[in-house]
Amino acid sequence: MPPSAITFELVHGVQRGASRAVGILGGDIDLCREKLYDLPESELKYILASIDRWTQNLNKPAKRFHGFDGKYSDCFVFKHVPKQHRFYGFLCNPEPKTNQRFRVCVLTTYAKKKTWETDLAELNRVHKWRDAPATKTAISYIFPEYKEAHE
Amino acid sequence: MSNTQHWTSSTLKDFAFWIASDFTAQIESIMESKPMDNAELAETLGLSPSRVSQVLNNPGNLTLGNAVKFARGTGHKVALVVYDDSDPDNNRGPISASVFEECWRRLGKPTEMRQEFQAEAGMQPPKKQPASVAMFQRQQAAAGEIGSFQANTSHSTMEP
Repeated sequence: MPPSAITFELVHGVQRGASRAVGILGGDIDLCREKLYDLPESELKYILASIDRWTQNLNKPAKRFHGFDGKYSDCFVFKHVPKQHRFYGFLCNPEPKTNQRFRVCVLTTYAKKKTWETDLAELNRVHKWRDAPATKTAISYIFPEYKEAHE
Repeated sequence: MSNTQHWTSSTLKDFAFWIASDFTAQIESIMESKPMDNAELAETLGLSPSRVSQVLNNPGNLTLGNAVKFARGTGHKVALVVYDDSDPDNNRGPISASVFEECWRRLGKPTEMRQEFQAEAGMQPPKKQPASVAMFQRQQAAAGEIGSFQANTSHSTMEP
């Protein structure tokens, strides 16, 4: 079997917080790594500043990031509303044995969105990538406990 | 840019952007909690809604004057905090003002420096009057004139 092309890394230039971090998946046209790093400079900085805010355990404003309810309670989104950027991902604990309170938001997919209403298709796309074996393998390169917990 | 260096560590412009973005995020959080939309804030500030959106959506263009205006427009005040987090090269990035604000709130929103904080920060005002002042007071007390001297100097030399 060829090695997985899916990659996972912590978002460049953003520090891992004591209890939160943000990573990003790449290696497939459906994944959002290239889209994030290719944003115009000011738009990238806006998103990075929002990511910093979340990793510092701040949960507002919803205009910039928020979670979802019910079946999609592990989904998360970082937004640049005026530019209509949405970076979707899922929350997980990649260190379940050694750091139970730690949470990583794994950014998976991008959408350009004009409306406030949640598009469930986007959240289903997040779940598809969350459940992909290649994703688990990629995350486990940085967080070895992750794959053990999801096998 | 590497994962060991924060994205704001290379240029002051990036750091300034972060500070401005952190500020607008605070304003947006306040507006969400009230709730208050851009049109309402615009009316309070005497600006057009599009101008309000422009400021909130483009943190890179924030001025100190607009920061004060937007804070006051939401019924709040604003402070600039200089701090030392033992990261002189800014490898870890800035700390959100929301963290400082929350700590201040949990301390009971003090409006002045508490004496115990002054002592910890090495800012304790002198407990003893300068020797020359004490000597002068003793001389004046002996001469029966201490009352008038205290009245003139208590604001600067006497402990509460």
